[in-house]
Amino acid sequence: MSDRNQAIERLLRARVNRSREVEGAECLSADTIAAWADRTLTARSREAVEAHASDCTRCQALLAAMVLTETEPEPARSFWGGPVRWLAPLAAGITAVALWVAVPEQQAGRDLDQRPQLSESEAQPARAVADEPAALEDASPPAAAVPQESPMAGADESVSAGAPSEALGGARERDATEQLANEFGSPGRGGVVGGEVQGQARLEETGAASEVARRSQAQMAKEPAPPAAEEVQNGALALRSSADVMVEQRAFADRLDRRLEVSTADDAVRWRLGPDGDVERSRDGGLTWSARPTGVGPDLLAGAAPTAGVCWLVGRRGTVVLTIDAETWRRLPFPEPADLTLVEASDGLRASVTTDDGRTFETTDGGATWTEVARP
Amino acid sequence: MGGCRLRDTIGYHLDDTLVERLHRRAKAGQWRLTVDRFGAALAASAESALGAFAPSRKEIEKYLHSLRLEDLALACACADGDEEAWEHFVREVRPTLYRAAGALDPTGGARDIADSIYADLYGLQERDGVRRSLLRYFHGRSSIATWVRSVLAQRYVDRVRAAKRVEPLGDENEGGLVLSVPCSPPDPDRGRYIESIRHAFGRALAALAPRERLRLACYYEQQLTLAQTGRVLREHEATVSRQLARTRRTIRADVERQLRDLGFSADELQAAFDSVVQDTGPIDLGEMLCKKPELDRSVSEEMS
Repeated sequence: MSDRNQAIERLLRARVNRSREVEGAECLSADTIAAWADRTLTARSREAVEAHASDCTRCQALLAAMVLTETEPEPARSFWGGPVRWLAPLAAGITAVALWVAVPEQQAGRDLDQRPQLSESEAQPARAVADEPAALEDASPPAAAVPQESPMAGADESVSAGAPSEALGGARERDATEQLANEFGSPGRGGVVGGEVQGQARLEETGAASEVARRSQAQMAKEPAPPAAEEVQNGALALRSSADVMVEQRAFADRLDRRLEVSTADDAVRWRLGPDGDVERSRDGGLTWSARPTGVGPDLLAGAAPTAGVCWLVGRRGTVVLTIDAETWRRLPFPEPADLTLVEASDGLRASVTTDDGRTFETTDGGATWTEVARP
Repeated sequence: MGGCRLRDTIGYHLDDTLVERLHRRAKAGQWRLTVDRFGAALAASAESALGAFAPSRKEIEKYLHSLRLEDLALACACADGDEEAWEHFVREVRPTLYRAAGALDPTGGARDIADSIYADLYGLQERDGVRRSLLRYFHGRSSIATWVRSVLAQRYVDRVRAAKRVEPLGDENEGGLVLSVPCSPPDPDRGRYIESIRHAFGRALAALAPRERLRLACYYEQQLTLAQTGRVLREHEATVSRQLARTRRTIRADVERQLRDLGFSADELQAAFDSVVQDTGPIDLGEMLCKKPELDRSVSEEMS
């Protein structure tokens, strides 16, 4: 008998629903499928949907796709779903409060015993540097950092994938600091921590030392938190001639100065292009920036942002990229490999760009087609 | 920017007071959506959903109250080109869309569809100087995020189906089961058995209730798990399992009955079923070399 069951199973695998397919106008609309997924259909409409889908492979696939893309399946109801569910957080809260009342006094005493020499101002940067290696690890492969500002944190691969984030701006600045500090370190120790440890040794030699720098090497080996970056930088600079320092500072400033800023109609929203092709956006008038990687590299030369969400960027060899959601970029085709040095735009559809030899091209369809404007 | 041109097609006249009340409930003012404009969207939605039923005034009102009004207002504002609304939409819906694309194709194959949907939602295409946003087709019957997911699902499924159409003919023979070359000397009746059982099986399937066919399709054709199939049918997975087992028993009994009606003896009946079990599927020289058929999803766990 089990052979017969197997036969039916095999037939089902091979044949089910190949008997008839309905497509086209008869198929369920996106609106109906969405209503079905959100359970807002009436019982009659729901039956109609099921009846159609039972014979239509396309709509079966659609329903399956909706199920597969559901964010959270409906949770099964249990006794835990009632008022009881508040007991756990309530108990946890009470426990936390009790611990908070009972423990801090003892803990504070231990903390004071452990680090009596550190003043508050020193403790703060030390903690910052302790966090720094992780931040730099995140920033060095471009995929790791996620923009703070992005609503897609953790979900948007494109944002996180090419993409240094807001942290990268800081990481780049730290890179400059790191370069200065590492020049005094051993050649094999390029990391920030290594550089700082070496820099600290210099601090000891020059006598420009802080409480942290006065620790013995043995204590440093035990101490997980490296010294503050500012201290390292200051110590490093103390060993250099003033001319060298001037050169380094100029180079660092140039890196920052070469950022081209693009304002929008909204004063709070700004874009800026870095020399390495990095693109950043600020929503607070330039106080903080988050990366919006375009993937086109250091070819960008100019930008225009007619609205807070729309931004056109142009550059070398006919590079044109556009975002209409302030997040993802589309590279647009351009008829010539000319360097584009200027762009003006009125919205996400209409823009004109100027080539380095003075010609102007216009688009009114979001960059799908370009027309050269005749010169007067 | 032009948005939904709805007034021309509106057959319903909605009470002004009702529209104003819904306009307030939808907080449409935050997107600078006028009462008239929102009223047009409401009327279009009602006509789209109820047009065929000639509903009463009360039914229309009930329908309108059931809508996701805030999402409808947001969609209208986005379709009309309100940048602030668009930014809000992007913030709220974008994660859902990309998560859905990732769920459909973890290798990233659906990501480009999601991106193209964004362009269409924004309305990069113009007609007669008017931006045409896909959001014109959102009627508020679901959340806007679910609707966008549904649009993504449609495009993804259509692309997969289109790709299948251009694939070279493979193992799926539209005409029915593919006869393989048996290892043992061929049974002269084998073709007749398989053809008979195939017809009987088709009739048994057709006799099932739509819901039973949908359950089978989700499980076998769409390769959903029991739990996922249950989500389609709003059933617990244990119920799905039981129902599938019951349906298979029904099919088997129906096939046996039909074959008996055709005059099959008990031995012939068994031989017919055996023929199906022994079939190795597609004609493939490698497969023809005396391989036993493999069933990757055993029926034994659910069929006693």
